[in-house]
Amino acid sequence: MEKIIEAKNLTKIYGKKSNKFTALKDIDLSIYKGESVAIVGKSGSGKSTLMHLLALLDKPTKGTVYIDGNDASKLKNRDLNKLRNERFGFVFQQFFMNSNDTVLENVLLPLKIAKKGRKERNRLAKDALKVVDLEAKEENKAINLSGGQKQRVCIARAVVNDPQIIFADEPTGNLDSATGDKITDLLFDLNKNKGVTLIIVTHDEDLAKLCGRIIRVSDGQIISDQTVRKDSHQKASERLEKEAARVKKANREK
Amino acid sequence: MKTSDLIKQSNHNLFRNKARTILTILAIFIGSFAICTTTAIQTGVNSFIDSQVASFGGEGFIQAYGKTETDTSQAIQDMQIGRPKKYNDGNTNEMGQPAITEEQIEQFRNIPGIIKDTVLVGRFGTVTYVQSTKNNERFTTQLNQMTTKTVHYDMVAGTNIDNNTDEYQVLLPNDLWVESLGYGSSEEAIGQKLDFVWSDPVTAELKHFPATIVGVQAPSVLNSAAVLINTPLNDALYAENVKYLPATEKGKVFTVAAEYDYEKYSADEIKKAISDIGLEGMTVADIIGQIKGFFDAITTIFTAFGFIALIAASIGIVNTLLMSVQERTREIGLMKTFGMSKIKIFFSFALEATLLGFWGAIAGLTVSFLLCTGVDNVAHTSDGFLKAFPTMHLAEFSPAVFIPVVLTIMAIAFIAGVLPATKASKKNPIDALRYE
Ligand SMILES: Nc1ncnc2c1ncn2[C@@H]1O[C@H](COP(=O)(O)OP(=O)(O)OP(=O)(O)O)[C@@H](O)[C@H]1O
Ligand SMILES: [Mg+2]
Repeated sequence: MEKIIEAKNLTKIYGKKSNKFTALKDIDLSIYKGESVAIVGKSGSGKSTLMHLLALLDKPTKGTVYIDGNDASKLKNRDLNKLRNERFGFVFQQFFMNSNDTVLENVLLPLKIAKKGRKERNRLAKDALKVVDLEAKEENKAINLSGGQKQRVCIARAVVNDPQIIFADEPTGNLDSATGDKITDLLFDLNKNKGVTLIIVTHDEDLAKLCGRIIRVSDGQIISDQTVRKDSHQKASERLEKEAARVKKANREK
Repeated sequence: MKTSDLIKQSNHNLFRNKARTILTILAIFIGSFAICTTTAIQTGVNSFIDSQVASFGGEGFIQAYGKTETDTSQAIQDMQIGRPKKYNDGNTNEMGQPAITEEQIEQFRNIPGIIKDTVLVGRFGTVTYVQSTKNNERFTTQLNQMTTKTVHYDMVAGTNIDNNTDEYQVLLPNDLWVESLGYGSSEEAIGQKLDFVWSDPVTAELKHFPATIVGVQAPSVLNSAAVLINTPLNDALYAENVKYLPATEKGKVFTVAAEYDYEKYSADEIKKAISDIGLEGMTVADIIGQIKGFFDAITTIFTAFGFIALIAASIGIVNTLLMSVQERTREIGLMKTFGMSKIKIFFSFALEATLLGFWGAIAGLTVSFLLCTGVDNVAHTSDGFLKAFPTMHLAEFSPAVFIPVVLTIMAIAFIAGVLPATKASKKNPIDALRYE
């Protein structure tokens, strides 16, 4: 299988001198094309830090991240921007939205940066909002949304540019189980049918178990990296379908 | 991001923090207003002078004086502070210019390029009074002479005087003269006689020189209110004026004037030739230059004040943008996360600054325009201060002037915006996103 991201000796130290804090220590990791990877661990263990480094949103103190086999620190700015704009999708733990802009404006930001025309970007952004059940809120200001709604806007924004890799930090953290399942469905559907590589940070074991691979992080180090066997993976998707059916039924009964 | 989107976004961002934006625009507005107003007044005055000059003609007119020891501005200053002047046997005038000799007049006449039959020698006739043949009113006045080949006054009625005729002719300086002499209109005055009267200082006999009114001038900054007479009339009056003077005093001349062939000779060539015979030449352009120089000096000072106001405004722009960058660091983080280039982020802020400059400049220009137009209208009402000059506009707003002004202000704003923009574009995405 094709390596899409590779990390070697990744170390991240925050702060200076007496405030020094080592958030990641010598991490080695390879992620392959089309994988779905869960990064799990206790709060403060360094999951988000790792994800940010892999997504090239931050620079490691030591070590190297390779994208398609190329040293990311040596990428030209143009290529880096193209990568972020066209191939990556991000869902941040803290959402990060332009709170005074409308929901639609927020979702279409990546498309605007990609120089898509007004009509096209509006259409694509509306489609993405429909998938997360928020088409009714497109003209609302982002600041006026509930936590779960904000999270769904961020997911819409992460998928709107049809990315090859989605980095999602706690994508279901603020959602009730039914809405959460819906989002999970969306992500795994992209993974299965479009070959999108998923890197999901979560402390929800159920969500982690749906992934093909679970990386456990503790105190800035990887303590286990297990590939879920094919059959259990199969089982997981069966369970997912069952779960979906249950949700539908529950909704109908309401 | 597309350029059009970039511009829209920057403009939109400006109106996020309205109070701050408006204060900054106000600061720029003051600078812009000051500069626009002064340059418009400068243009207005200059174009008025230009139009006056164009109607005056005089491309080939040149005047010559005796060369002074002290420079002219020193002489004017001395005159103003009242410094007593040395007596020089009557051989210098009140400007300190020495008398021109007969030999020099002859040399002047023979300078290649000088048109001989236009030469006017500065022996100026005077009158005791002039009397209307219509209502018999008497007036005192100074008399002027002028060459007539290229010099043509802006006329309300009639024609220019003719120096090469035997008839005595006169040109009235304005409508007030027409009225005072008892005529209903300028047209009515044309062809009528104005009597020039000289009272002989010895016999007290009144000598009459009736002259034909050939034309009436439009008011202009270039003619004094003196009536303009032709050479024959002047010479006749002068002969009477100096009748009793000893021969040595009769011919004292301090200025000569003529027209030269300006198509073949440059002003500098003629001035050089005049300088060679010990005189100093001055063309119409030089005279105009002095008038313009005076206005330019004043408006330049105002423009300088405008620029000082603008510099203060640019500090305001830097401040606004620095705060705006801080406020929007997260937004910058998002833009970087989704692959917006540093250059574009830089431009979005620089553009914001330029737009601030643009709106401030436009506001200053608009208010300046409205105010100047208003004042100009008031000035031209029946008791306004410009009523005598209907063709003069206080300020003129030509695109050739205000476009550079607006662009300059935008450029200053752009430069002022570069600093915060550079700072904004250098952030690491996640650092920018985490910024509180
Ligand atoms: N900018 C920073 N400066 C200093 N310390 C930081 C910074 N960002 C993270 N840390 C520290 O690094 C450690 C790892 O943080 P990280 O956000 O990666 O944890 P996490 O595993 O995502 O936790 P959670 O599940 O709560 O989101 C934490 O102890 C945190 O305090
Ligand atoms: Mg985290």
